[in-house]
Amino acid sequence: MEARSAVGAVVTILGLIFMLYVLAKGASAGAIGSEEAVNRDAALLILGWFMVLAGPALWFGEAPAKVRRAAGRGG
Amino acid sequence: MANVYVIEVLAVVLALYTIAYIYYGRRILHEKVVRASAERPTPAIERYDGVDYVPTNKYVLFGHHFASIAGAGPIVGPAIAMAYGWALPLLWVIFGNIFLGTVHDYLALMASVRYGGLSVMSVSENVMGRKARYVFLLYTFMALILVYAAFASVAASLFRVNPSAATMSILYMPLALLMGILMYRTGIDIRISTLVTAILVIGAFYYAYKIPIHLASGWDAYHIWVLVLGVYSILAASLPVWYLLQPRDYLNFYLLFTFVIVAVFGGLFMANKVFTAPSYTSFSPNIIAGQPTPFWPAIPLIIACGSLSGFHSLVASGTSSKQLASELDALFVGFGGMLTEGALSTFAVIIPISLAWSAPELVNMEVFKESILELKAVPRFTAGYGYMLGKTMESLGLDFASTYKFFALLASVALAMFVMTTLDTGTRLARFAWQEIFDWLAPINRSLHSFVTNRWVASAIVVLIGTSLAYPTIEITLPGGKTSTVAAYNVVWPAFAGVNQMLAALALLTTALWVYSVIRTRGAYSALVMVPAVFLWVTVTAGLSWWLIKVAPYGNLATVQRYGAGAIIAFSLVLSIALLILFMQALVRGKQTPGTSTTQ
Repeated sequence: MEARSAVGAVVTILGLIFMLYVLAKGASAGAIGSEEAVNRDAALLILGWFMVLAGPALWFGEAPAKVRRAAGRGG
Repeated sequence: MANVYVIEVLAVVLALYTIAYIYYGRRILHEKVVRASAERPTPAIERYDGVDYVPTNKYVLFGHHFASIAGAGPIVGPAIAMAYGWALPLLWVIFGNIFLGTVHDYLALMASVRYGGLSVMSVSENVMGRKARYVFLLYTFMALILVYAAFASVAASLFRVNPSAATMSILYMPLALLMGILMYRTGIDIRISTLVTAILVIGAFYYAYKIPIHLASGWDAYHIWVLVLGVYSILAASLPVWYLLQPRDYLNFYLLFTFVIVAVFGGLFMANKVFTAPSYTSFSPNIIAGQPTPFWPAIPLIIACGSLSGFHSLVASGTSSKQLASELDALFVGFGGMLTEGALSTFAVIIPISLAWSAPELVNMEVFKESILELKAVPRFTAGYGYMLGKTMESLGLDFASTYKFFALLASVALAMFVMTTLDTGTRLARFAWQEIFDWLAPINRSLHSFVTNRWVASAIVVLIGTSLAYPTIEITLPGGKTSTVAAYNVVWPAFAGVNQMLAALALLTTALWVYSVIRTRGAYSALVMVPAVFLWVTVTAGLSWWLIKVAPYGNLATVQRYGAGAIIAFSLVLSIALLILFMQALVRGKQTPGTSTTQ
């Protein structure tokens, strides 16, 4: 695995863990975050969200073979 | 006026749209005017780059296109315009949709495809000269900054007051990304990928229904959401289209189509009900800034996307034209997308509000005291939608109050998806405009050009300027001397609406000239494009002039709105006149070349 893909995998998996942890905690508490100020859970969820959005692009690369084939650029 | 039944309106609108698609779209525009061909390779094939130029399944592309063009406009605009009664807004949606919006969107898409995926601004260079291109590009970049600011502010406001919509948005984007990976990476069939993701989306909706996200209290939450959305927009606008944008918009299509189909379903169940809203209240009720607002010429400043919108030409010639796999798909994507948007305005906004107008159930639930007009545009829309579907469910034996709340939330979530999509697509389009503005730099200093037009840098510039407009809240003085804090979109929206509609007029003039001078379609077919283009330019110019003369000096506007929005609108008028002169000059030159297609 290339370094770029490895970083992408770590970012994605960490992001997923952050999100799932906060979502599970929110499900038992009935809400995520606080109406007073930004708390740790809300910050962790937003951070995890960004990591999950950005990570797979590094992990999987930018143009999958299926997309290249559709453009007649081989696979 | 005699009672009007829901079924009558449904039948007339569906019949008109079917005729428009088959005869006006396919037989005339597609086959006679543009002469689309499967033999001609599209930019997605010829200029494939794996980031922006990517050939795409036409249903996936329809999803992206429809979700991108259907911002808050087709919902908020008609909801505001219901102050005229239901007949005039419905008339403008149908007329504008068929004769202006579809022509505008389809031709912007096809002109861009024929010019290798260039934006409609660059198409203007080919038909009106180099000056037109740079003026048009600069104008568009500014308009898109306003789009960003308006929609970031709307989204942050929505998340502040409805935290469940925020939860759904946070959950939805990773699921869309999963859909893209399933579809493109694992090779799983699109139907199975869709089914798996759809089940997860339903689960996410249930979770969001129960679990809100709170970031802070009061307006602090608004400010934080503006910043979070800024980071999201840079990410979403810079990543490859196949990765998030395409699958997200494809999923959006299902969500939004479900939203429209549910509305039609509700309409059919209410088919034997009559509209309780008046068909007509006044030609000039008090709407914009509390001033008497004449239906003509002000209506394009109120109803945008459901009827026509300049933003659509940027989507069509920005992202959609670069993903079109075949010219034959353009009718379905460009023309069909616009008709679907008109249907959204009609079935999900105008009909429900007409039914819920003074519903005693909503009075008892203290949604409003006497009439739905007491509500602002967004709650007016969610209340109307919730009411129609709540009554439908009641007729099936379910409780009205709980189903009303459920469908009102569905309406809020759908609106959030519309807004988020417009936000990041708008950022991507502004990045394209920015990159095109600096194309002259490439031969002079290649490394500086590479830096300035780098997709991450370009997206960040757009977001930084837009965020600086969206972030502040504004203190306004209400009649009676009380003050109130409002979000930035209250200032930005009227400027955005006016500039947006002028953009539509300019794009339609550009494509009309392309039809006349470049593909040289003449006679009645050419007039079908030229006449709407001139009509729209006259209407929008009159509308913006009315705003400057009647609203700016006397309306209940904040200082920044009066002078900031006023300056932008004045600039728009000057620019539109300059481009009209260039249009006339190019038309005269075009007349000297023979046509290739004439009609009786």
